[in-house]
Amino acid sequence: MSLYPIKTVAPAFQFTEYTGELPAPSRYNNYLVTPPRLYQEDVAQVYHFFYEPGSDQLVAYITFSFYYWPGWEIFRYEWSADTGEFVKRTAAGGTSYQRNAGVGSYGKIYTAWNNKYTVSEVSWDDLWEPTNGWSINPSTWSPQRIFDFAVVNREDNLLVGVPGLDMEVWDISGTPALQASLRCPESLSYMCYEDRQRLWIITPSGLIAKANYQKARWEMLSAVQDPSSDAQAYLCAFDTLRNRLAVFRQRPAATDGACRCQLEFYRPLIKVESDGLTEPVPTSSLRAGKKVTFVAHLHGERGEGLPSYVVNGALSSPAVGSLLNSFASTEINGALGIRYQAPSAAGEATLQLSATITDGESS
Amino acid sequence: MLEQIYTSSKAVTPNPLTNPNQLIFLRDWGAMLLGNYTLLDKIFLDGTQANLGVVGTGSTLLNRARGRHAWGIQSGSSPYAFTIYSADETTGQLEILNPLTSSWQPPNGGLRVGDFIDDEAGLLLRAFWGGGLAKVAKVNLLTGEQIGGLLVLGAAGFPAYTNIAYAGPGKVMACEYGSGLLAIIDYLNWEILQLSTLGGAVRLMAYDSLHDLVIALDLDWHVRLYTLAVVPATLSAPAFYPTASEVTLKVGRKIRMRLTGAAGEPCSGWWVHWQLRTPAQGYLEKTRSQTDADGYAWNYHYGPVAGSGSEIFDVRVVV
Repeated sequence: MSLYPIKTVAPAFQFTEYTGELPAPSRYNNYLVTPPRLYQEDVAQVYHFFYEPGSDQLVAYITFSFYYWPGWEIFRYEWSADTGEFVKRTAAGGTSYQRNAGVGSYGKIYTAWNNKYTVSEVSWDDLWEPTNGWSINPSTWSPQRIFDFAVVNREDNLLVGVPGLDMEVWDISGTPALQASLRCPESLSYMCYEDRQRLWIITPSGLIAKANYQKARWEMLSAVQDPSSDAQAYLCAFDTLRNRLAVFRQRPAATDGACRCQLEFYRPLIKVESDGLTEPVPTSSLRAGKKVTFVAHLHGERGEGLPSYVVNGALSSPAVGSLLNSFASTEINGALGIRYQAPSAAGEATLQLSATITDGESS
Repeated sequence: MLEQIYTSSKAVTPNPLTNPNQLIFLRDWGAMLLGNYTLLDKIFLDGTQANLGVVGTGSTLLNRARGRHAWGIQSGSSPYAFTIYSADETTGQLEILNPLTSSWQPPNGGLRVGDFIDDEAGLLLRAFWGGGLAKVAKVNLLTGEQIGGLLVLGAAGFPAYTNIAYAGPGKVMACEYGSGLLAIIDYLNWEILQLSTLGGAVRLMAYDSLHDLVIALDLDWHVRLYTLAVVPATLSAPAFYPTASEVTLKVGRKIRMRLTGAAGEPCSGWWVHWQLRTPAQGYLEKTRSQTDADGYAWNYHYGPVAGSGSEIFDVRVVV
């Protein structure tokens, strides 16, 4: 399985235009308003990104560099989870203590912290802990843990945390005990909950992986569409209503200072790359009179095998020899085989492969 | 020298910082895993490449039975002590809670890229460095003790193997990148089944155990595929066997010739065409015969009923 890009919303929002010079003591980050730049703010860091099921919105907490006093500001951004349309932004000062908030059991938001070791339930609109909210402190566990990322499944008493490269599944029903561990393909950029069994991760290079954390196995490895080298960060959130993944890609501002951050939406469907059919390769000697099997693979962005597609083979004119099967179905790893009968005399033939790709929306 | 059947049009792009250090053909993928000090890539047989992430610090990528791979991770107080883990087939990463061994120090230094483990048979195979001859050492996977070894006889100066790859049940390909030399070894019965060469240095080698192909990532970064068939290079002069210098009367005598590759390895299954140069004194039983596993093709020569003279045998092989 790989990821099918549904749409991209770019830019994800607009910056506020420069409204005029201030007296010197109130100026900060003068580069923001130095021509050709036209805006008085820029994204410094995106701290949190999640799907908020109550309002059916995507929410991000973003720290900005500001031209005006005090030179920085934190805003909560909200977008329609359906269309990706920007809804509003709200000042949300003081939310830099939280670390990588995301949805978990019961549709609640949970977060790790920068200023303490707990993982706790927080309110979606200010990221502060409610009275009598759920909380756990992994620093008291044996062995002690401090998590940068955490997914909370209170239904099954599981907490998935990532202290480094290894994703750990802890049973928190009694004395917390390490139940399983999975090595991540890279250090994490973000992690999000899908349901009681599955979660998603995204890495700084744009790799996306899906894990079944209850069975401790990876189920998919893919990537964002067109991973650009200028991407500064990727964050992901799973829309449980529409069963799709939203990705926030942080990119540097344009030359004029305009926002270039974008929202991307993916379905967990097979997406074949335009060059996703490898060249047919012979697996035995090419000799007159011999039968030769050619193998190829149909694959996605990160080499994921794509099963159950029919690939057609044809000999381009002038055809020398013949094909013993003119089509083949791809196996679970995307492989297929076309058998060729070479002529009894020397000759040259070209094997061409083609496939009709259907993804549920187009073909 | 093995017969080359394919060169990829695409070149593999190496990590700009370091050269890749291990190439493993994974049967489940039908494709290869390329590892180096930092990155992990999937490589298809036509050279198509996709990055799968990074390699963890202190990890050693190992070949494993059934065409899978494993990771060795430094463990314990000694820098040479390792624990070996199975690997996840989706991401290629190690399964941290699934160790195949306890922590131990392999003999003759630490664990090396290119070592091979058969966790079912409880064996680790590794190149033994030293002595001037290639040697595969057999190690108990539970204790880390060396329990045997295999010298590649008749290959004096043969450098130490750089990789030992799975080639089939009980079989491995041991190969050396600097020379392109390789041996197919039955490691359960300790027998060398085939000794051959690719004809020159390559960057990395792997073995496609699905199609019995030798895979080379060549110096130009292109993938090249070779069958196990040896390309004939030398056709020996026909000779009577047992040796006979004179043949008289109408008595059939066995005659044979041998077909070998560039490294002296036997070429089996090739048709040899026999002919007596005119004026022939006697006659041959067959006009063509096929080389056996040792590269020999056989025939019978019947001498004249009476008289004397010499006979010249012509043999040909169509490559």
